[in-house]
Amino acid sequence: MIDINEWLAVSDSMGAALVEERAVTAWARVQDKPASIVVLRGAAERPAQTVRIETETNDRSATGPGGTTYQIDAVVYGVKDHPDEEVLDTDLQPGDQFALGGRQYEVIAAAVETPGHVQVYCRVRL
Amino acid sequence: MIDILADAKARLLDDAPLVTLAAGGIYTAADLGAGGLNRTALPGTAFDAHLRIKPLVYLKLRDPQPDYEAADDAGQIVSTQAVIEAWLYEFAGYTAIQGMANRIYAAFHGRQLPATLRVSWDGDVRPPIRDEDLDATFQRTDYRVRLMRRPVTAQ
Repeated sequence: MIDINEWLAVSDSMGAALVEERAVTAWARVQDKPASIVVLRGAAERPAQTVRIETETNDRSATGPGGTTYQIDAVVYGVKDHPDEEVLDTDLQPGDQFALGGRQYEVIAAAVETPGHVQVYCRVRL
Repeated sequence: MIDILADAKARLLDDAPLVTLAAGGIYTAADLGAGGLNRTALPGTAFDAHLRIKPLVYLKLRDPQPDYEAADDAGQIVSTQAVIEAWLYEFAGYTAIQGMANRIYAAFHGRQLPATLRVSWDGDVRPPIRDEDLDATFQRTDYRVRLMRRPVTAQ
């Protein structure tokens, strides 16, 4: 018969290893499609970071007094708690902005925290 | 053919302090095309390396309307008024916008453009919202221009 208490105890003891394992796989996914970004937080540039960016398919246009612009949503994937100390935690906060490929990205919100991963939602202005 | 906006733009380009303030440029619709201001049309001039908008001026013209302050039915002449709208943008705050508005006032108010009678300030509009699409603060400052409409003899 399964001893749920024993299972939970083992699971807790594996917590740190589990986070590291997930961070390693998260970093591998970033490395599959890496993008180097320099984030502006207010007027200050943060050090360059490597992330993975996936845009969604819900592009939309907006016409204001200045003209017509296009927007699309994106998710930026990063990593945290990686066992290799040279792989720094991804540092993204709501309000951060960066430019890449002629597009302006603005971090809108952070996704629910998951072990080893960083995910944020962005608005992309074209 | 009268091109009030081209004349207005030329007047503003003659103002060195304004050109310095409006680091992103001074534009009319003829410069921008159908899409207007956006990062695709003006990536390197109106937007900085981070694709944040630089302070700039976008001139538009509201169509002339007759005011009948002067009219000559026999000669088919009537006075009209049009409005030049100067849309002023910057990334954050209103420091550059206010500076540009002050320079535009000096360039236009109480003066004439080559093809117009007197130009006068017609008020400012500063919406209490941000242009989320351009990611900018903005203000409109209006100038009323007086013209005389006459029959066009050559098409």
